[in-house]
Amino acid sequence: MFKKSLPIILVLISSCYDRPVINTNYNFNEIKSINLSSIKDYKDLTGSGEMVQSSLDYNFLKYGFEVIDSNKNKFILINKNSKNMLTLSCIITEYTESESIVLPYRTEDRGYTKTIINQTSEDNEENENFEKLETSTTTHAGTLSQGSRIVYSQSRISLILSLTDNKSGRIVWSKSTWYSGLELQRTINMCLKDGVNELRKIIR
Amino acid sequence: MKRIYILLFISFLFSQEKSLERASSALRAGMFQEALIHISESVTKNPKNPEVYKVKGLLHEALDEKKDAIISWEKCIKYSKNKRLKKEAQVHLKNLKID
Repeated sequence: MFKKSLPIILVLISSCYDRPVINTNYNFNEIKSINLSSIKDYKDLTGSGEMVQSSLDYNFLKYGFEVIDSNKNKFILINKNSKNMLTLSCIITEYTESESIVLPYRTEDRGYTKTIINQTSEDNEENENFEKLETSTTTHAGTLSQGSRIVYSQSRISLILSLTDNKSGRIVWSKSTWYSGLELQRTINMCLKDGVNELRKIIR
Repeated sequence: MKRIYILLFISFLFSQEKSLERASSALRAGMFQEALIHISESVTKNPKNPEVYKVKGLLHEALDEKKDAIISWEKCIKYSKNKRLKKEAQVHLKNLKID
């Protein structure tokens, strides 16, 4: 039981990191198509899955993939002559439309050094020219004060993408990705851009 | 002389606060171009603050100014000692550099 579930556990643990996890034994050159399974909404946020889905289609098209939306399912055609079929699933692990961010603004006074040089020239009793040079240096240490703050709202998206081989049921690739930004749609796009970019590296 | 220094420092702080307040208001209103002007003013006054570079980077991204966004995030990494902020900057840089 443990031996069977070990690869899945490893994939899930590794997906917590930024780098994708790849099953090195799998032949990615023999892929016929990738089915795009529908993305479920995040908790009760209706429409969140659809937004991610449409952004995923956009990113695949942007990178030159052929996305086919037939009545039954949506898939990407990779190579007609190959046999293997995969399914891409996407889980939304975080979907924050807008969160308030308060950034404390620290002002750094780096201090200063004040040097006063007094140079005087006077004649003494023996009528010799006498020069007098005086210097005084004062150092101010400086301060680090926290004054104003920047308040703004940002979106944050986090996703886990996984590829499963339809025949064996094995997870052959997994990637976790996250992004933050000022606008929700742009944040989703940028988040998926990273995922799709990693995916195209193994397919092509 | 000391009083002049104190007055100069206070006026410097107030001018920074003003530009930050304006930037915050513009950000909340979604006026990114305007917010960027005020954030840039703050950067000029305090060029080693990583948090301001973060906001500047986000604004450049929202305005589709990829090159400027990269510069801001790089400066954010340079001046930040906060691990989370550095990580966030690295994620943004990685995505911005994808062709």
